[in-house]
Amino acid sequence: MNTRELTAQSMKVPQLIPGFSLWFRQLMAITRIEFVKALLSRRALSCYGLALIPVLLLTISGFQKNDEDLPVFETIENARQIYAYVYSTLILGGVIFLGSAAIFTSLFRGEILDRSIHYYVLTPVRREVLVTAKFLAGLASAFILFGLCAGICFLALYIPFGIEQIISDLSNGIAMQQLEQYLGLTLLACMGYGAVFMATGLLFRNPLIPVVVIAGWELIHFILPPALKVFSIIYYLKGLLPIPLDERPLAVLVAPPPVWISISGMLGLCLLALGVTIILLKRLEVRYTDE
Amino acid sequence: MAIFQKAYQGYAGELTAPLQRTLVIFRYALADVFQSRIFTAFFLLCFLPSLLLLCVIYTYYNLELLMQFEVPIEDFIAIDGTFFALFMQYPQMFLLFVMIMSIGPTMISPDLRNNAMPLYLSRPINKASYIFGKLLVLLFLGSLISWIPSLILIFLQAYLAGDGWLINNLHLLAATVVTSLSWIVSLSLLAFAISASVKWKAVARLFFFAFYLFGSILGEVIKAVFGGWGGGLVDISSAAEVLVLAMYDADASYMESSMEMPIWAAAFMFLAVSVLAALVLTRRIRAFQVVS
Repeated sequence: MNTRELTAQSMKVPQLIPGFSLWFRQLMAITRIEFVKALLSRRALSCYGLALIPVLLLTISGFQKNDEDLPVFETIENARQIYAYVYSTLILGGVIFLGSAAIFTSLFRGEILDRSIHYYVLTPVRREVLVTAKFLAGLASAFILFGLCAGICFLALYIPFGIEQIISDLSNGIAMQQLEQYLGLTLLACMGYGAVFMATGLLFRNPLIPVVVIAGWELIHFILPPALKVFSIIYYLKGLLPIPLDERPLAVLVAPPPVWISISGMLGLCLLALGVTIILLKRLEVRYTDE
Repeated sequence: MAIFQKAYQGYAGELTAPLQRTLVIFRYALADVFQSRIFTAFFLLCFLPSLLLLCVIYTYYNLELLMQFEVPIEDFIAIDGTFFALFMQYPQMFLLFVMIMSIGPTMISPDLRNNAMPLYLSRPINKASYIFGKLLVLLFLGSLISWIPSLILIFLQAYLAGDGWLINNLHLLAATVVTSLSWIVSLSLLAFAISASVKWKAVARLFFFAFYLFGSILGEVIKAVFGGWGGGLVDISSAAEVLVLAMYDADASYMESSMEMPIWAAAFMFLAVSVLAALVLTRRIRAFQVVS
């Protein structure tokens, strides 16, 4: 055996035998890269800023008095009600919606704007693997960021009541049960909005159009007739809130969907949006000059 | 003489007036804006509410027409400050927001991204002229669809109503100019600041919308949690609402004002947004760039 043959033998030849093992390795590699890009890049700063605002608001509320000179959190029940309102309005409707739009839209549209999508498209990776890996990376980073935001805000409720209240609520299970529900809701919201924004990021050159349309639809969902309410993501998510909130004036009242419908609805939407993204990516023709 | 033998020599000729130089930037930026057919169509559409209102005012004073439609005069609301605030100022402010969102965030970022700033600022144009030239586009287009048609409508109403209507409602003239210009200037500077901070125009538009949406949600939440009008300080739309109600002397029961904010706080909000945005702009726009 001559030297050349020896070198050739000892070289690590990439094992590109199609199958789950290869796809899984590729999936993990892309997810790792995208996770770091989504969570630790300069682009993520806006999401950090968004996530910080509810934390600051609820932390300040713990020390502040309202305009009637009473503590903002009078009792723990009152504090939970306020948290439910802040969660459904600010965290769900503002932070998670806009944060998901920023994270998931940039997964593909950001690459096209940065003129780097061709690196992925030219590698021998199945489009299905690429889309799934990017989605999982986006989902993981969004859930870590917004889940932490929801969790810290939940803990901030206990500032005026002290450690005894936390221990009491943890021992009787109320705190853990509600926190789990809020975190589950955060995960479902990131999944639902994220999958939709990832697809629209490929579908529209101007990401503002889908974001404005979806935001408008979600804002007016409360006055929509029941047949149309089922097409809004917030309808499924609000049904899962641990503390139901009063509907706004002029709202068309509808019973919230059962929990299994809410969860399977979000999963179904997520799969559908991923399928659409895969089809769009397979048909993608990259023209950087158009951007 | 070979080119390498030519040494640099500063221009010794006569300079044009500073405003004239600013108008060059304005002219080119305006031409850029109208390259989009969608925007041109939208801009024409912006005149529709004013035209409709013109018809309404004409019909209001035309008894024969009203009799043809068999509409009793008592069913019409009076044409006063509330009427103009509700049917003229609010729709115009919405259209201004859409217009500024569509073109404002795209005006600075391409110049920064393509390293064009040294080319601008190596001419006898300073940062202020550059910003003012770009701002003039939004001021000009915004004025065309807001306070200029409003003044025409108010004068038409004054002519048709007679009996010293204009003297009694003189504040409406100031109201439409001040509220429209405050809205245009603050939103435009905000859009420019975002445009200067974000590399891509598509992302800049998204940020502008997010700023507006998040501000209004946060304002509502602060009001619900703490009470009072503090929430209005983060919500520019609430500040605009307060300014309109106060300047037009409008009946607040018609318009569901979400914040009971004093007018000075609303004015401060506009001033703060404009000053902060101008500070960001002057920091981001520099005569030197690392050419990549």
